Amino acid sequence: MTLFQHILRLSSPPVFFRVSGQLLRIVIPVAFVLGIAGLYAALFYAPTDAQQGEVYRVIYIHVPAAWMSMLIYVVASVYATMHCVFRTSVSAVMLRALMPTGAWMAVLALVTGSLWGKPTWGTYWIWDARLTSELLLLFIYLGLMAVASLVEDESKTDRLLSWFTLIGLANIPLIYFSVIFWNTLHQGASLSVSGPSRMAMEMKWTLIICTFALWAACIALVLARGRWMLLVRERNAAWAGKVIA
Amino acid sequence: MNAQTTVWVCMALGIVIVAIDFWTVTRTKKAALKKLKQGMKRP
Repeated sequence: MTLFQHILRLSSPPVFFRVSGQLLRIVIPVAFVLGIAGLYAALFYAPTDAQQGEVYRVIYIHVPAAWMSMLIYVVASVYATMHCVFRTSVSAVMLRALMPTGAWMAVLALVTGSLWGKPTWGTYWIWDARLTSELLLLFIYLGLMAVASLVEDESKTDRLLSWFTLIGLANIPLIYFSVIFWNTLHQGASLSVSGPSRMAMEMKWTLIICTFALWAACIALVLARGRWMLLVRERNAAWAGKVIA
Repeated sequence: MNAQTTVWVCMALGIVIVAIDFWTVTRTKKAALKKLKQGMKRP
């Protein structure tokens, strides 16, 4: 079976409901274990930074949250594209299920960033390109959640939501490349896939564990929300009747 | 706020936010179950 056929199979509501239930049984324990390991490593295992001291440890929650806020939006855009093309209920539901978690991740990135900014930059907030574009991402999430809740006609809302999500996607490269395009206070990337890392190995692995922990937590939250929303939407279908019974 | 307190506050905030999001998921589940039990028909 090709990858495309797998994706198409997952677009079937009963298959998605069953597979997401099986996935949740794996992802929830993984999120717990990695979360505890990540917290321990961030607070006790990772060495103190030579320049910033103890406060640098905020990156272990700030950076994964910022990455997740962007990644969730990209995934939402993939579902939005799928919805524009195939009009499946799974893509519409997942698009709606991703929004609250993405918004929370943007809030977490902004608040932890400003708590780190006070001792490091001397201010909680500055209208820097990276910070402003991340704040814009939060507003986009809130706007999309408002669109999802305001309009009565479900299929019309899904279409609107998909198009608005795709328009908002323009902000993601703006966030990511803002530190390159403009002369910002926010530092550039600490981790690089292609080039040599500027971080100590212990710091790098702690950051990777924290990122996977938050990743697993977000997958669990979105899948759990999505499958319940899907069941409500498909409540008159035969498969949903069997699940409810 | 000293550096260590800032770090602990940020970590706690991360846990609180994930917990709040989890709580909203349980609310979605409760609302879904309520709707399904009521047997509301789709318009």
